[in-house]
Amino acid sequence: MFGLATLAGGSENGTGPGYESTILESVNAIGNADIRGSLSGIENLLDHYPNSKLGYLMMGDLFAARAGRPGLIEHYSRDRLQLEGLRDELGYRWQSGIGGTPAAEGKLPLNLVLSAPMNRHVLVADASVARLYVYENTGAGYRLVDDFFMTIGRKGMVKHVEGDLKTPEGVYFVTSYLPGEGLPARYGPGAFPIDYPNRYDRKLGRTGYGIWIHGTEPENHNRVPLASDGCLSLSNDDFERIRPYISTDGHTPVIIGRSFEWVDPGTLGAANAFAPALVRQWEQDWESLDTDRYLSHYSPAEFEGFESFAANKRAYNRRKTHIDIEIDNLSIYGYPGDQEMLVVTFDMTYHSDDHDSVTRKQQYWKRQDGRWRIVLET
Amino acid sequence: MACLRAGRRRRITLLVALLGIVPVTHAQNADHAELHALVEKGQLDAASERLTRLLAQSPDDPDLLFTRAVIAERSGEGERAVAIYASLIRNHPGRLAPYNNLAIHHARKGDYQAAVAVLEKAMEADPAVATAYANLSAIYAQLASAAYRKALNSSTPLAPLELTALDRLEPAHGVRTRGTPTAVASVENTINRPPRNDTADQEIVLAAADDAIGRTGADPAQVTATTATTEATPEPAQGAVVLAAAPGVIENADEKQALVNQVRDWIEAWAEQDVERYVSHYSTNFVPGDDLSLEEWKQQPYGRPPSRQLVESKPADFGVEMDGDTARVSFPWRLQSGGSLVLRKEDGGWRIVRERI
Repeated sequence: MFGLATLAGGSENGTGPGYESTILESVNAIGNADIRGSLSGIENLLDHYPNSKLGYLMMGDLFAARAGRPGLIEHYSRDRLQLEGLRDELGYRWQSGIGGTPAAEGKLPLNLVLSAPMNRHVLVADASVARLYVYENTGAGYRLVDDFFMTIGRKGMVKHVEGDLKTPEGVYFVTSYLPGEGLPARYGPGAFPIDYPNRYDRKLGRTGYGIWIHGTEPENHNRVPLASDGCLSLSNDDFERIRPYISTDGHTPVIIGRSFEWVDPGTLGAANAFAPALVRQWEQDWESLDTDRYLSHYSPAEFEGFESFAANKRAYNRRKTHIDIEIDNLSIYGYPGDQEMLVVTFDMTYHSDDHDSVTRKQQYWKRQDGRWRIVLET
Repeated sequence: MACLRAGRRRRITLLVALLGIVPVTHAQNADHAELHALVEKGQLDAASERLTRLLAQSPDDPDLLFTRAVIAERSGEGERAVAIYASLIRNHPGRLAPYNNLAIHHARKGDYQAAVAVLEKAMEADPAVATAYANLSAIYAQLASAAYRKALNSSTPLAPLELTALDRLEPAHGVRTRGTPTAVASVENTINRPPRNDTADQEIVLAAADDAIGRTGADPAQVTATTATTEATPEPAQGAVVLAAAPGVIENADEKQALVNQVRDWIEAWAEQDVERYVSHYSTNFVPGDDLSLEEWKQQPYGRPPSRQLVESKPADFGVEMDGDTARVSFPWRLQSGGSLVLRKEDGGWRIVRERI
């Protein structure tokens, strides 16, 4: 038997058998030459999930094998994309089910640098394995609490312009919830919009809107891996399962990437220790009133309006005798994709001679020429 | 080896079931029984000794020779076993056990091609088995096709299912022909069909089936070829069996389209409880069942509402088979089973004469 450990861990809802675990047990039965067992597993699946296209495909394959006609499907597969999509879906589900993904092996994405306590869960969408992971922020690290097969845009990644049918790559936050009653049926029981385009996307001129995490139309149990308009789509059962992990007040990060760097949990903290230190240094340099040192944290090339920003700071700091800054609820996430970048958010309490304020800050730090510098700040 | 023996017993049991006859075996005398008991207990030396004595009396006895091969195989004399199996196959080609063991011998050596070739030959060795095997494969292929259509939302129609009936209980001595393909039947949408309990329903289905296999008085206009069946013929108890298209049937796409449209109108009338329109689709020869007369039925024609699958069906979901003035239209009924209507041309229009839903 293969280790289908991660499946058993996923507490699937409903009275019926677990969808994915039933499929994978049937695949497993084929591996053990138990065709009859495999078929009865699929029949059981279809009793509970009569809209499972994948179930029917497997049933067809099993009967075709018994008929000695493995090529029979050619008569019915005019829609190559649908067929390949179903095969890919099974492959992805299987890979994850047998522990063939880094997440299933217990590794963590390097992107999970630091989470404030109110960020109770972090969603990580790994397009390379069509999987959406839910990590719990335990305060002492991260724990994989659930994971789902997911569908992304039918043109894959990375979204650049409106209507390109691609899914964006980046660090996003869930902004709200849209109940299914007010939406077209294809979104299923509801949708969680995310904040694409974020500030970095807008800086790059990326357009489009309405990237959601949502369910599936009623005729389908779920969609194949590449089938949405750019959203992350789950089966409706899985949407109900993920719902309790998502908050709509900006405290659920969603990191979507073409691929991720995975590390052992024990090494995650050390590998990322530099990042909070950067922010602390930035804080200290601001408090020191040494404007040059403070400005050295900003990228003259990429930080928009750097010259006037620098001039203002110099003028402003000359008038101060002290600045006191407190940083709370610091969260830092590594940006997926080609550049080395961090998305930093925190609540800042600012005291100076003549000004007190509490603000929510967000910074994008980028590594350029071996140095980390702020390229965006709000 | 225990598995192997069990497998052989199963195979033989299967053959008995398939053929519906008790195989003619040689006298199982006490000596043979004791010999087999020794082999099963693994007392190969004692068995071998007993076997040598028995073979001296009947050197050509296939059961003894086969046992000799089994003992040889289990004693590491594989080549000797192969030679005996080969000679048994040559002299008793209708006995399937030697093929089976020879195939295992090849497979153990990793020569799967040879193993497959021998097993295929075994399937061909007995016309009834060959036919049953081919029919089984054809039905599996049909089930596969039905599932693929659902998986891929395919509108490609199901190919007709061609099954071969046998016309002799046992093959003529020494003749090695396959059964004649005398009946062509079509089974539709049988994936996951639950066992049928409703006797009345079953009778309607089997009326066609009976015709097809010639058990009741067949209407020569509908049956292209009656079939003298054996009990070996798989009973078409599941799924609707439709009569073969008569030779020279002209495919008429427009007519088929019209039929689909008419059945869709029938569904609509049913769903909307439009009695007059609903009843207008039925023939005066329609038998409602439940001991109702046609006139009584017309007072309250709906036994139950149409199923959701039927109401939501699309034109592509319909299958039409035409045979002269008779047509059968099949459609989705439950999630995993279909329904059908048989219509006959009356006064220039199609009218429902039988329904199965």
